[in-house]
Amino acid sequence: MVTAHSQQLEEFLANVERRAFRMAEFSTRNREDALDIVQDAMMQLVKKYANKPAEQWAPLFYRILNNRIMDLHRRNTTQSRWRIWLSNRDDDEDTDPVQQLPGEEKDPLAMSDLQDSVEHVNAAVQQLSPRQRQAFLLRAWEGLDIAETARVMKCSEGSVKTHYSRAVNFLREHLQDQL
Amino acid sequence: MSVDKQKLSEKEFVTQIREALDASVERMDAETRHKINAARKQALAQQKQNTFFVSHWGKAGIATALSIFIAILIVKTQLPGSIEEEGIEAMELMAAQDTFDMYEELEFYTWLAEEDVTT
Repeated sequence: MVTAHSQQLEEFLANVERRAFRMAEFSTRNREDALDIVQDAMMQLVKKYANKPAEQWAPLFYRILNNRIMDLHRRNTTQSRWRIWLSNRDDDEDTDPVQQLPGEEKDPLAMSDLQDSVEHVNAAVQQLSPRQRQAFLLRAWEGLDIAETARVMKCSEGSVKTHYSRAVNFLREHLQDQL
Repeated sequence: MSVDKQKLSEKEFVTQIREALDASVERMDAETRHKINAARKQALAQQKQNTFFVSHWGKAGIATALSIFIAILIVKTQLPGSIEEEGIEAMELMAAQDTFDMYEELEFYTWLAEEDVTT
């Protein structure tokens, strides 16, 4: 019984691990950080939620992943604030560390230099705001429903719909000609 | 009608993006794949280790409880004057064939004793 459940868990992780890595990489823009986050998320899922029903694993896993990404951004934000403070600059307050992340510079020329649609899509997804990217990837790529996405993102279902809609509009605007 | 068309095209658009994202995962370099794979195996090894400890501690607990139960039973049955002991003695007495023979031939033993006295 335990073996079958373990096998199912391994299959689940094998199925989501690369997408989870890409999601973390989109957010952190750092391969090693993304690897650490994915590994930590897998460890936590196995340690705390392995005995949960399999259908609950995806929202739980992405919630852990999201928390780890948030933790990293909090640390980075704190460090950057210290750096700014030490260099005698003032900084405005902000409550959402994910929103603090700078978006990629929107550079149409750089976009046009990309070789294929995969790179176009990667670049465009990277340009989304963190919340829009989370909502889009969880809904469109992972297939979570609105309620599950809201739980993972710790926001209302209405916010998920708004973020998702804006993400799709942005991507359509930037990728319509490339796809 | 135009809204349905737009929705359909949006659905198709999202599908195309999803396919491109899937392709980007498929193109992932071997080293990254290897590291992700290793991370998964490490996470699952942790689970197996936990399961091993839980199952072995469980077995050890059952064995300990059983040992204590047997020890209590042994101590209780060896206590002096216990009900079990008295019962066993009565059973032994009743089961002893010699005793019954003695009662059956009680008249003979009485006569023998009287004869000894008179002689």
